[in-house]
Amino acid sequence: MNPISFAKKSLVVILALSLAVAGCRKDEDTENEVITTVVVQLKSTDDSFDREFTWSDPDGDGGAMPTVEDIVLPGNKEFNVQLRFFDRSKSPEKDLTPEIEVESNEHLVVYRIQGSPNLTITPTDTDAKGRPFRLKTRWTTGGASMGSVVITLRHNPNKNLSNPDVTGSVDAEVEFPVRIQ
Amino acid sequence: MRKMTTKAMWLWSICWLGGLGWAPLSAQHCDIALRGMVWDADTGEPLAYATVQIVGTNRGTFTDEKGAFVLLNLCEDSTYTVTVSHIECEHETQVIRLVENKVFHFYLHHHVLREIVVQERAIAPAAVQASETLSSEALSQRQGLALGEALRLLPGVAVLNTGTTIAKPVIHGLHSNRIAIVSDRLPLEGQQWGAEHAPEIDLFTAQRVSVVKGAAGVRYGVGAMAGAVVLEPAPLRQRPGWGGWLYTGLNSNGWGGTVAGAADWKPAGSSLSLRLQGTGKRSGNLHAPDYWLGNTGAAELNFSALAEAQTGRWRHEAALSRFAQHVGILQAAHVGNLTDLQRAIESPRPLNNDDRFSYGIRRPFQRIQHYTARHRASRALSERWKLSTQYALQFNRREEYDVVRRTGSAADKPQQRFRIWTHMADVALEHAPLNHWEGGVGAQLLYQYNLVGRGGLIPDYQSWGGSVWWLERWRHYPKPWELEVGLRYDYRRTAAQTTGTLNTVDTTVHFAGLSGTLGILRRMGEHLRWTFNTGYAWRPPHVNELFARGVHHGAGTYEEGRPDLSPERAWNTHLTAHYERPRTQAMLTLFRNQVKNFIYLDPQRTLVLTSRGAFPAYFYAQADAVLYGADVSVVVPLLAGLAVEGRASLLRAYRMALDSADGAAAREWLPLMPADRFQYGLYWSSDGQATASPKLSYTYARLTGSTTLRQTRIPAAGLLQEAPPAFTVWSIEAGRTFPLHKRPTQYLESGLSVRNLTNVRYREYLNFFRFFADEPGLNLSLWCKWHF
Repeated sequence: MNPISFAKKSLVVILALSLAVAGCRKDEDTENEVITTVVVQLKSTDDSFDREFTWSDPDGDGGAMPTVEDIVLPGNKEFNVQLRFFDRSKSPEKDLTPEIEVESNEHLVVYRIQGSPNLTITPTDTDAKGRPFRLKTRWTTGGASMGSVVITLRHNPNKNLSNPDVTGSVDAEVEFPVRIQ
Repeated sequence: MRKMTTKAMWLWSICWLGGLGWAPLSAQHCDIALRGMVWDADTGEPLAYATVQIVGTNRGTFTDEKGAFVLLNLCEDSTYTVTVSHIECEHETQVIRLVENKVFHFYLHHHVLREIVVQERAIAPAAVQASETLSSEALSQRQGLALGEALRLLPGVAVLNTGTTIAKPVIHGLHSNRIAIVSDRLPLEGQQWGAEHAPEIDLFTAQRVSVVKGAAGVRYGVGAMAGAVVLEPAPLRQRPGWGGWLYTGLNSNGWGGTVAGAADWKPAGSSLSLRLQGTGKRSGNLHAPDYWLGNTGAAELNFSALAEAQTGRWRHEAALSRFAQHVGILQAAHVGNLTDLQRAIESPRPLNNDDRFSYGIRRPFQRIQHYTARHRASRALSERWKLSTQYALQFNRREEYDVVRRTGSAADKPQQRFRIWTHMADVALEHAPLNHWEGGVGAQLLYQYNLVGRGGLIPDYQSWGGSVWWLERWRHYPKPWELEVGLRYDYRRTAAQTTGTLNTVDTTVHFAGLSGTLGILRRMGEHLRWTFNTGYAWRPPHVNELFARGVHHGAGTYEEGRPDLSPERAWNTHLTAHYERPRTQAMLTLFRNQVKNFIYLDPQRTLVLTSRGAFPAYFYAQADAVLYGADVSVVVPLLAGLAVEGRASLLRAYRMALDSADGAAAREWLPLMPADRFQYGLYWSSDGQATASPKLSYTYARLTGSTTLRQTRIPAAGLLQEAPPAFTVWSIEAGRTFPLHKRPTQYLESGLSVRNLTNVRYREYLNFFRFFADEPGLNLSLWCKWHF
């Protein structure tokens, strides 16, 4: 090969590659999901109470502190409770609850009651294979008391274990103060 | 300028044009010696009074009674045609390339055979700076490994791991943006800032891998505060024809396989020379002594092409390369919050572990590609001056796939993507010795565009940079003193911006600084060499240190950048004594690196509440830091062919902390510093009794124990757990090289190695995943490399 043409060709190849590298593959967008918002919907069985309580950190980890609404409930009632999870760092906001419901086998909600509120939580749903899921629950209140509920959404738990509640990884974990009047 | 004779000019033209490339800041040395031995290949006796001549010159000499010869004032990194002849033997000719001071062994056969073999045996590089080079044996044994892992055996070098699949080299306690990785004279530009971002380097492209210890900012640019890892490819063919090699390797742990090869071609009657090279690797889950490490498979597919040619007075070199890697991240290390992390730490076995063998790579994983395109051109301006230019483009794409909902919209998308384009243009004017000073001046321009996109860990940024440098070295053979001085000025301007809703940044920052180096080398007698080097280097704070905000999942910490950080400036001093005889070697390096405004993560007394629970907060902060220590290495011969080897790496690193009570300065240990390490073992080689019967075939074996002490010097504050206990790992390496044909260029190298011979359970302090799982257990590797 003529050395001059080689030099030219090598330059051409480099330029072509620069262009190729810079522009040929259209990268798909990334999607980084952040659960910024957890909503607890409580509806009493006697229809006298229907409210949502929100844990929210719309600017993601760090930055402004998250805001939490105290769950204030009338005593001695039963509530049907539904959890909803949102990513409000995006616009429009994204409701992640349908995805979680579709993948019920791979998700599990865990409730931890702290302090001594007169509150019991019982699951009212199961996953697609009839195992615990607990996105929907029934909360039963007793007399006036205070405490808190820590709600944890777990991803890929091992539901074949007798206690799957500590398996998998944590997608969300928020604490709501609870006051029963 | 002094008048040159025609023959001397001919020699100069060989120096400048004959196979040497563009050497930024490593000015070609034209006063080094070619030392060699001439042997009778049939009897194994040294050959006295053999004639050694450099073709095309009047340079020549005779071997002495011991078969040794020396030719002075030759150019480093140049190709020479050497003819060795003896009255009783075949007169033969060989093209050699001088790279540093090497002892060349010429084996002459009696008149019946027409053979000559050149065996290069490196004696210590005459660098003015402390450095370590992987021996060709050690490199052959490690070519299938990641760069970081391959350097682990060198004193002063440690490895920062994220699990088993990600390894970064650590030089004297510093890594990432504080060292440079230079492949074929081009600094690697990727996302080095991240501790879990491994360098994008294919070791099969390198023939020589060395580690420069100490401030190397003048030579390798901003950031080389603690040193540099320098990889050099094998020179391209200088004689018409073709050649190459093919490598295959197997690993028992992870059932991994590696295939690599290269083909070199030089057409007759042309100045063109070409190489194509490729590497493929695949491995599955690794096994710790007690369990499989779920999702630790990896795959790699790399290509590179090199070409050089001469057009008129210009010498051109072009290179293209692609590195592509797909690595799984240990599944058990995926924890969402602190409670889970605590649970994982307390569990003796990994939780949520996929305890079985599989080649599958599932989320979380990383996918990385690195492309390089480069063109260099150089020409001699006169017999003493050389001009060279280089343009290089690097593109790095890193995608991190986290565990996401299978049916969600993120299911087929990465959660983080970093794309960085780096354009670098260099020009250098270098000179051969003028009054025994040789060196050059040069300038570099840099433009970098880093695209992260919304929701990224760091903002998008653009950087513009420029630098000018000057480096000179004084050598006057055979005077025992050598001197090196250098200066460099760098400017960087970075505009950072995020467009997301999470973390809004729109700032431009400027940094500038001087780097300098002063080195003195003193030879005392034939065997002892002292080097003293003191250097000043700096690095601007990286965008992640300025603007990062988020939870670092592997560490279970919330990290926040600080936009007003100032540059780190390091003053690094090394003193090395190097004693070397043919079979005895000893090296001692003492070092002290004082870093002003050392950037570190400072544990806060607060927790940051996130939607996954509370995380301890770490903010980037600055304080003066000092790192000091010693590296030792000793080889002592025992019986024929057998030697004892020992190496030690000691490091202490602290920063100044203001005591809040009385404002008095107190010392605080720096986190994640390598613990003291001792390596010891036996080495046997069939070449040990060289004078008895030098052979083309060559066998060696090495048994090494490596004891790493528990790191007790860890910061009192912060969540970092106590370091894992001390451990000792044994390994065996053995290799055999033998010729396939009469032609010396055709031979087979084969080897076997066993790592973690006793299948010991251990955890490394410098592995971020030490909380989750043990290091891998026994691994048997078999490999062979066919040179054709």
